[in-house]
Amino acid sequence: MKKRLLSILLVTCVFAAALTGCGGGKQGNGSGTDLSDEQPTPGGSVKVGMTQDLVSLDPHQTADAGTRSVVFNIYEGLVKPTSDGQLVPAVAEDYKISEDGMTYTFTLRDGIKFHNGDPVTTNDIVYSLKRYAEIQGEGSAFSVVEDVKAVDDKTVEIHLNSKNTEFMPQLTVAIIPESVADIGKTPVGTGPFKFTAYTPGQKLELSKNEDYWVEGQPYLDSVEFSIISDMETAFLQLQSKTIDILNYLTIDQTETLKSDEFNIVNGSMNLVHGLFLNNDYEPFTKLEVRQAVCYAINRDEINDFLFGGASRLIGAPMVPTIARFFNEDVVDAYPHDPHKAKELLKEAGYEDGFDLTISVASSYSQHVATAQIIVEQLKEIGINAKIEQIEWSSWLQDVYQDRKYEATVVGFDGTLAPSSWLARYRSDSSKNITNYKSEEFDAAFDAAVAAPDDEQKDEAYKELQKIISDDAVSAYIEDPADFVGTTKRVGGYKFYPTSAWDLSTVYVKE
Amino acid sequence: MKYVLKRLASLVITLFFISLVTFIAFDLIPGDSALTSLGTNATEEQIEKLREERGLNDPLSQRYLKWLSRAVRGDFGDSYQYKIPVTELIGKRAVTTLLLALMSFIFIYVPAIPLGMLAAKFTGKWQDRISHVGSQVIMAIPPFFMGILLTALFGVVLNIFQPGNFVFPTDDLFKSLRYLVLPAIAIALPKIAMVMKYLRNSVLEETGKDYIKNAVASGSTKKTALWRHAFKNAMIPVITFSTMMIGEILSGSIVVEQVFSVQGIGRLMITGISMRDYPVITALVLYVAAIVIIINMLGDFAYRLVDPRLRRQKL
Repeated sequence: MKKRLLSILLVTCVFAAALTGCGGGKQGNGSGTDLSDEQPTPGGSVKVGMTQDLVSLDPHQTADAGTRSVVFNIYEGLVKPTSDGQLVPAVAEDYKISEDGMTYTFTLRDGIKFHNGDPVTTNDIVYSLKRYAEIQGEGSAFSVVEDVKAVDDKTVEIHLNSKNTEFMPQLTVAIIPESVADIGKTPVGTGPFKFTAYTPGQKLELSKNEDYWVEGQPYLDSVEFSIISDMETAFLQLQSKTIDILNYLTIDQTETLKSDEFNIVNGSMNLVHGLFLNNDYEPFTKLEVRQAVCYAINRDEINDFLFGGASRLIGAPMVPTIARFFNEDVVDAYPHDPHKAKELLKEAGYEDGFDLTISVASSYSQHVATAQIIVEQLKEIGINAKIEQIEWSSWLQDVYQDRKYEATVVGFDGTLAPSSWLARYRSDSSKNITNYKSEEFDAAFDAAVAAPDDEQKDEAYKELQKIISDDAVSAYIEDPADFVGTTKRVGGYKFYPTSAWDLSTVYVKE
Repeated sequence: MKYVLKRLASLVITLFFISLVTFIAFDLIPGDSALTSLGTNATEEQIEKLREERGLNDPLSQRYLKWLSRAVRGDFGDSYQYKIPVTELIGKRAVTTLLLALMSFIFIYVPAIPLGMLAAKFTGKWQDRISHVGSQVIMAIPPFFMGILLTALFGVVLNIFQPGNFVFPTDDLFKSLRYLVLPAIAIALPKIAMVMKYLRNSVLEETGKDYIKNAVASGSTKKTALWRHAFKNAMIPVITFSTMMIGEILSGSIVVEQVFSVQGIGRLMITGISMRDYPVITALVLYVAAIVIIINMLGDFAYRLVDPRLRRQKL
């Protein structure tokens, strides 16, 4: 078994070497095109490729990461995230949090206007927050809001029903005008770009918001998000320069691009990627078996094979880009050790291994490829795994919602609120795909959310990751590297720790 | 006339059954349209609300009757994903696919008919052998790969084609036609080879028959015998094959549309199914079924055109 994997690796290495040989080496431009000695010039337009269609242009309907990344350019909240994971005032100019942490007071930014020319009023803010709360329902993180009211025409107060130190990231929710009835069809926000047109399944066109509150930004006159359902086709379009920016390139693709015509910007996907185990499924009910799986998986091999070693390894459901809360200590809690894995299996009474089905959504080639490597690695300790490829919709229903699965490879995203990454492990969560149940975790989770000061909060979240790691809830692999290919004429592309393809800083060198 | 009416009635009945089967099928396969739309970040309540809004909690029979009562009036509802009327969504794409199909036909028949006849004329000679090998090779290349080859060649190497710059024919006909040339070629190439082979074999079969020998014996030149007499009869199997092929192309060349990013029926079908956009899928299945049935009807009329014996038959 090991031989087979080795030979696959070997062939790929030779192939990769051959490709880099032709491509002329890429090592030099790994860190990005963000060269500060270049002066961005206004004007021009770019086309961004994306392989999935937009789910909804209504910002209050929770959408997938891809859609959120796009609408980031149209809408803004009272506050908005920066590329280094901070929150800065956006629609609001300033804010105050009361001593008891129950009242948030926001002052509206002077002269801020919606794309349709109307000034943003405090009524619009109240309307937006109430609309979002209603759409999200009681179970959401927004349900801590007791009341929102406009104090005067510059000030809005948000009252919480319980203290929540992680409420702030929630306020990135889009502020939209009350006067626009169907926001999904006629998107209007305050972001750097205005909505121009959307052709279902084909493209979304945006144009510059001349009145944007950040001085000098955006640089581009217009932006087009081009929907190309097939990744191979999208890549051809980048090569022929029909599009300027394409995300999620594979390592092979980055090596095919000629370095004198394209730049590769290297960031991270902000995903907790791993082999998720159904803790209610017979062998995985035993801690030793789960630990054995963790020891059996060689994360470095996966990282080298799929990402050229550029991904950052993880050991718990938190990504390294959320640096403050990321627990470095659990990353190597389960180093690759097939011997130990076998011993643990023996202890658990599974000396001869067992059969396992890994369900994977077939449309995500990265998940499928990861699963294929894992199958080989599990064979080494006697677990006879096979892959079942299913459609994404079926995965959502059977695996995610009904939890009828044994193991699955997938990636989960989160927000700047650290609780968003870990909330799905609470025993009573409807999103608890692993069926993990631990009173210790539940209590620690509640304590972490309620932690009054920064220091305690950091510690509490690190502790949560330790609990999950100790319990070997699943085999966490990496936060996958995101290779973004851009044509040479494009500069200023930035990565965010949240779902955002920010084009306000992108410019064209011409 | 009576014949036409009879065929139309059977069309309506078939469509009715197909719509019923589609409804049941999509009720049985796994996947929840509300969950698919909202993804892994939505709250339970949000999903439930959307399910209610789309009427997915109603029993199947009730949903079907509701749909049927609207559909007979030409209202197929709004797309879940795009929130615009399904008829509008399909109409625009059907025009694209129709245009693509027309271009493909021209690219198929213009070379295939003379080539097929030529191959038949030179049976066993080097011309025939070359065309045989050539057509085998072309048929063996799957359309998606042909598509990628063509895009790479014309888009990346020669730089005379901009992959992805598709324009709807309803927006700019000329630009749209220009874009569709390569996709049409990708569809046409393997089919040229097939039509050619069909025609060649069927002409050869006809030329072996007595009436051709008789025609040649009574002074007709070989050329006239081939084109005037054999060609017409040889067309019957070609028509049969063509009706199948036309139906296939008109219902959306899924793969080619995907590779070339052409906004046609095939692509809409794929996204519709993967997003569980039921109003779109149901309408599309009916559209495709109707196309196939109508083309087959036209095929039957075409037989009668080339074969007088069928014309005299009582219906």
